Amino acid sequence: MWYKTKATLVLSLTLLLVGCSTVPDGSLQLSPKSLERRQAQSRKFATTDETKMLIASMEVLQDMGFLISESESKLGVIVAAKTREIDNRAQRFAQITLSLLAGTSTHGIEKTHNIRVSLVTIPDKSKKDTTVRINFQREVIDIHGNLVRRHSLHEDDLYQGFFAKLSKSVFLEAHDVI
Amino acid sequence: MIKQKLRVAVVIAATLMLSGCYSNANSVLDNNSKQSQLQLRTYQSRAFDTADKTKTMRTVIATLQDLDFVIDKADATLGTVTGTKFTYNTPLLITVSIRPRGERQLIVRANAQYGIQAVQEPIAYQDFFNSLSKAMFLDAHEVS
Repeated sequence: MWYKTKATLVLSLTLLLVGCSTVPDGSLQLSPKSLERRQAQSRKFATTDETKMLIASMEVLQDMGFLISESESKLGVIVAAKTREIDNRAQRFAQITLSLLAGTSTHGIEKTHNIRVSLVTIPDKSKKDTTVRINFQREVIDIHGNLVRRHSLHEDDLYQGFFAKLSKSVFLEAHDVI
Repeated sequence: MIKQKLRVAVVIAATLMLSGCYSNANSVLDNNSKQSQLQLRTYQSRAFDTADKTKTMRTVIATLQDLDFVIDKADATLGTVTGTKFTYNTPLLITVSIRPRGERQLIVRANAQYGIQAVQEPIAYQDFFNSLSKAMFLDAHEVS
């Protein structure tokens, strides 16, 4: 009994001390992958009309169900967010069933994610093109509403999919389809 | 005997919790910082030999995205950019402000928070300004 109390005290003290964490080394250093990621996150469009590109980008974000949380057109910035159910129903069902059968905790079984995005338009130095750059982050929430993890999204197909939609949007707007 | 000790511990803990004998001033004003206001400003700021505020702000945004930050806010008039990055599941927040110094220079200042702690390591800011200098094609001068 006394051992248990001691152990709890030691654990609590450790947790208290661990709370004083400092920023990990290199957090504000460019990584070797920075350039590669920048390329995946950016596309050039043959227009000098930055506002038009910003509006076309906003339309695509709205097509994807994002809500615009912040924008600054003077700097070509749009910030948007949305919450969605993770596409893992079958896996989630299996995890819950296994946990219940084994009598283990169902914490950490992922259910929803909050996705955040920042989109920036950049006028080209040659004054011929406008570059659009986008990057995504998400917070994963479990079936109990607790945070499981937070991370940036770097999947190539995500960025390719976004720019395919944006190209279509630019085309539709250029031809006054919508 | 053990039960009695435990009871005493619980009573002390409950008293401390209820007493409310703490002040918010220190944590709100960051009085516990080991550094002076001047020291903070010195390592959080750099001067750049350019007067183009908008271009500098755009470069700051590009650098933050290169560093894996998602931009939260940007204000061209005030000259501020705020972003968030997730490092080991913990949010690293940064605000970068850009203001003119004289007619030929801009002061760029950054302050960051990792989890619930202010980032007070000068090396972290040094890393940020190194990254920014590369994108600006300009040297970052220490501000004194």
